[in-house]
Amino acid sequence: MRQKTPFVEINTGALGHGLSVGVGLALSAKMSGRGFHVYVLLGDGELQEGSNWEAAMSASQFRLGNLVAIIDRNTLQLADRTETIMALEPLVEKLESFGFQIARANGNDPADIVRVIESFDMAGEKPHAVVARTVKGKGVSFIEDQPSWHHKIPVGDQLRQAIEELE
Amino acid sequence: MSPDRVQDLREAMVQSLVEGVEQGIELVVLVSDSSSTSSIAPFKARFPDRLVNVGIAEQNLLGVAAGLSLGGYVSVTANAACFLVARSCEQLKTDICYSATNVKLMGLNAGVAYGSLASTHHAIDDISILRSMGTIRIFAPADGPEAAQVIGQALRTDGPVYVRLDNAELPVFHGSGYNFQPGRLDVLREGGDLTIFALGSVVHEALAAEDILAKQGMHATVVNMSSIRPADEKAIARLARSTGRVVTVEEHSVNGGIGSLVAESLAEGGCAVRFERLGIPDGHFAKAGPRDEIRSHYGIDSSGIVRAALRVLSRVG
Repeated sequence: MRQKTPFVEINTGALGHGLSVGVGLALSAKMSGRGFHVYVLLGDGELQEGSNWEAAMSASQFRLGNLVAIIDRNTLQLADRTETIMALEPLVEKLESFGFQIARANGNDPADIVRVIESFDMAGEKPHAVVARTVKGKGVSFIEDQPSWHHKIPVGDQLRQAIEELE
Repeated sequence: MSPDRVQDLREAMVQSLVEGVEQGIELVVLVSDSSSTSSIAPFKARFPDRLVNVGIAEQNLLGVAAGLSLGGYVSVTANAACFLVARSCEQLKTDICYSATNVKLMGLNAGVAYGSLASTHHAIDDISILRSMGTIRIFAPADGPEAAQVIGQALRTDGPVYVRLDNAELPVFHGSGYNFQPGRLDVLREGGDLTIFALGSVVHEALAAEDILAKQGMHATVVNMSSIRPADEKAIARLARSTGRVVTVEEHSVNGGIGSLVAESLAEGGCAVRFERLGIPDGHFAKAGPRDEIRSHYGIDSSGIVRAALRVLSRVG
């Protein structure tokens, strides 16, 4: 994937890998003095993987103010709602206790995510996280916020209806 | 050649890393609270800003190593082989091997080097796991000069590399002019009666076994299998065919290690020989105890190799 697709630094797919890789990239930016910023998009269910919390600890330890984790807080995972399966809340407090600077955003509004990222002190020492509340499948009545649609693709009549509703 | 000299492979590793930085390679060494395991202090003293300790977090170790390599560094991880391949197996697969990132993995204290710390700390599965993961190069140097060559070359070649290392003081048998070549079989002794393929520190047991056999009038070819991927399967088959009798020996499971590699090479090369694999046998974790006793128990010491040699030679073993 990495060698075949422009702008993809590394593939994930297997969950709980991205934040560690982001920590390494952010650390390379600091060590080399290039100072670029690193953005890692995380699913919320993915945060049940313990490796994220290893990565979160190290982001604080290494004072990675140039790192932003954007968490897609749609509250759904494969089998059901995150809070039913293995609760993530209180998520903001968890991340704060790991040393992150946190902002909440409306994840269905990209402008709102940009707004909160622009409020971050990227020259500081705290890594950052945006808890972006999203409604999964927003705008399609029969998909919106439905656990059963976490991992499904609309086909045939469903696809036609979904396109009509979005238009 | 200075046969009286011994060297810890980790000392050769640290020297290679220091020289790498001195020669302008932008490398970073990552440890997981494994500063003492890796004997990394001399490197840390010279280049403190190039040592990253992620704490006891092996999954993060490999993810961060992959990220640093994407940021332009040559990432070198140094921790116990058992935790490297097992605890962080998926990071190894996805972030290092599948993604072909420029990460050099030092698998420390592999095999049963940890002795009495037992199966949690033994790494008898590292080669079989890594041989199933894409194109990562796999090397197991048998003495200090070879470790220095392997690591020095790894730092200067793009892509993932695994180096299986040991914590024993091992006799030095390669001269300073030795030139390690990936894929080339390192033939240490040549004899016409049987061929012994050996791995890493066990190569020294194979050499000792050859000495004993020679006194009894039998002569073995002894091959140091330091390059596991790439491996020259045709050359393996050729060396086996030349004697018709083969013993493989490794401080590793017989499943998936060099015994398997040699067996596959012989079968696919249509090469029918008398053949025996020595290692940790199928269905077993290695026993706990002093390393020499573990080796003796499984016949992966010099006298065990002699007994196996006598068996494939159809003499009393």
